[in-house]
Amino acid sequence: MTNQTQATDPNDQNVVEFGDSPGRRLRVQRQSRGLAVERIAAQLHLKPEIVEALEQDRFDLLPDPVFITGYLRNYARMLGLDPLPLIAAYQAHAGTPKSIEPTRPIPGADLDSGGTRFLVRLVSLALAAAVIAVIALWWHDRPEVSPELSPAATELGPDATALALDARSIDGSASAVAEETPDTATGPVDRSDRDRVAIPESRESPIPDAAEPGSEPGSEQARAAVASPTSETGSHTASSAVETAPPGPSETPSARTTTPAPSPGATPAPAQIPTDPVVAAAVPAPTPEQAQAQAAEKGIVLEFTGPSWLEVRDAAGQRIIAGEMKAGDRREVTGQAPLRFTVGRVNNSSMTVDGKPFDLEGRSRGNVARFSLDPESPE
Amino acid sequence: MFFRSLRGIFSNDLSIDLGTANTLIYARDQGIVLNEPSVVAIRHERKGGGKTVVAVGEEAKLMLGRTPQSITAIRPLKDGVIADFTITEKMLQYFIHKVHASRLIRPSPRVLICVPCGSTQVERRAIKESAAGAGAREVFLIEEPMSAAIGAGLAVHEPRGCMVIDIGGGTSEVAIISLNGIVYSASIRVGGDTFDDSIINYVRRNYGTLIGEATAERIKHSIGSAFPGNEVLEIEVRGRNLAEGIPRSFTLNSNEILEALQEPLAAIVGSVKMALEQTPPELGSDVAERGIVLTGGGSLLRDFDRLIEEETGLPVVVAEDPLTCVARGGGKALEMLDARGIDLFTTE
Repeated sequence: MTNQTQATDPNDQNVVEFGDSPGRRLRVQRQSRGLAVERIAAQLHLKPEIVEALEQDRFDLLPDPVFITGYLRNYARMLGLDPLPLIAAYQAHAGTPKSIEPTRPIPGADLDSGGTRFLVRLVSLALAAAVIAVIALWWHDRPEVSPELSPAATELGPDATALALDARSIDGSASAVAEETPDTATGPVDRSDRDRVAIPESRESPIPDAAEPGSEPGSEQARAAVASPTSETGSHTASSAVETAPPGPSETPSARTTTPAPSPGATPAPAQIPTDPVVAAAVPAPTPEQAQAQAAEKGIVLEFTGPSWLEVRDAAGQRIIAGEMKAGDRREVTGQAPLRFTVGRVNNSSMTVDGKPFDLEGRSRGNVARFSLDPESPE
Repeated sequence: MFFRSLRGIFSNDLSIDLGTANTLIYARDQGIVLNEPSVVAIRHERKGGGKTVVAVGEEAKLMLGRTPQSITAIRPLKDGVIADFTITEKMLQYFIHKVHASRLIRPSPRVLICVPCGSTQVERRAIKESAAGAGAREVFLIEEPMSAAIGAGLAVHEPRGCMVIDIGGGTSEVAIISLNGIVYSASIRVGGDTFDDSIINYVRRNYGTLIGEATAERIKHSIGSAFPGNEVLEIEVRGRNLAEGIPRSFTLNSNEILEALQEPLAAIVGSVKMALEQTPPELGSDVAERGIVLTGGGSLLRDFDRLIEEETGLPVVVAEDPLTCVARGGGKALEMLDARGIDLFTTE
């Protein structure tokens, strides 16, 4: 109600002043005509409470502004009043109409996937955990490979492999080779150059010949060395060496090591050349005495018929051999067991353990074999 | 596409009530910026030179029924939907250009268009594509009764039933709305144009005289009523006497027009009763308590609310400024365009 209406005498109901509230004006008009609220309500098809609320300006009891304006218009028209001032007066009273709000879903209360979403999340989490666990296991069990000798490098040509090898590994391999064959006649060779170490060792037959006398004491030592391990493994290794000898003397180095024992040193070597073309390059290289000596040391021999690479680490993870191999190369491996091998280009490599051929192909993946080996328990 | 969105920065969002009789455009933050008849005047060039648009809107409406052979004044919308696709596109293009402030940059507004709830998918797609062809960057559709309810100021988001009757030029829509959605809707192809046609037919039948659409509309505006009133109004009109072939003048009164309009009015009342019949009881009781809201130009017909009130026994109120309700409602919906959880809009 405005101040003006409050100022007027509320008992004087027939006086309508300018600025009166719409409800008061309607009530005054209705009472002046002697009409009851019920009759008005019936004519307007409204409930009497709504008509009373209109007359008392109780707009909070009434519905949306559009209805109030409509009711006022209809009521005024019924009483023969001009509805426009009434509506204008009401609109001055009324605030702004309510704005429309979009019906938003309650977050996280999606009926479509409410129950299953949690399950899906759980399952996917479990799957992710499983995948991570598998990767971790694989990583843990994977044999250590120096970054220079990654499998990718093996796919490249030997030159690329050579480039990948750093000087340190070359030095290491060279020194490893040097340590392995300290008592061969290759002593004066420049040891920093691996190739030069390898080539005379494998290709030049005079050298083993020359080494023959020198290796005599070495072979004695080797036999002694063989004796000590075989004291545990027993006569089994010795007998197996003997057994393998007759059927194929050209097959394995160990066979060669056994055959020279009865026969003089240089003779078996040329005889073996035509019998086994695969190891032809390697065959002339070791004289029986030398091979005997090396086999006696530990018994793991690797031979290469083509470009390849090799890395061997001992139990402490120390690199014993690492480097590129060429056709005809031959390496004996000694070290603290178990030894970890990484042999590239398995098709160009062959390996024997105590004279027995060792299946590299079966352990290779993508032509690279990675495995651990304890020579004292070969299987 | 990129340039469209770039130009969109300089274009205001528009809500268009593409009506059979009138097209209204509401610009965001500006209100109603255009209210013109949906009429286009086309000139047929000689020697197969194609067609050119001569006039659109108010100017073209003046030509309606008064054109020479080379010009045709067309109403490209019929019964609330597009009857002539190309001309509708041209008309929309003209209107959008007219309300666009900048003359340098071509308009590329987001447009919300009201469609009759009874329109088919094909009709809706035609409206959408003609708006896109007229330069709209994005086109949204809203059903007319929903837009009308919002424009009337109804709290459509509340869990309360409200009934809206929108009487347009080509169609009349009846809908029950609750929680931002349409519970029931019906659309009949009866509207202001049907009233005009009924008046033309009545005059021809009873007076043997032919009157034009514009004259019929003038009669409707002046003395048309839907419910018998206390006073009888009269109007003098001129038409061509069919027997003599000469223009004659005669007088019509409001009771005659009421009689003439009985058929279309009965159709609308019938659809309202049908809607009330189909309304779920809870919503029906909400409607009974508060009443029915009338919108659209047709509700300006004298005592139309009284007619519905007497026929249904429910309170009926006419919305404020019923002609612009749909466009204003579209404008309010436009402001909620970017709000999440919009469920006011309709798909094709």
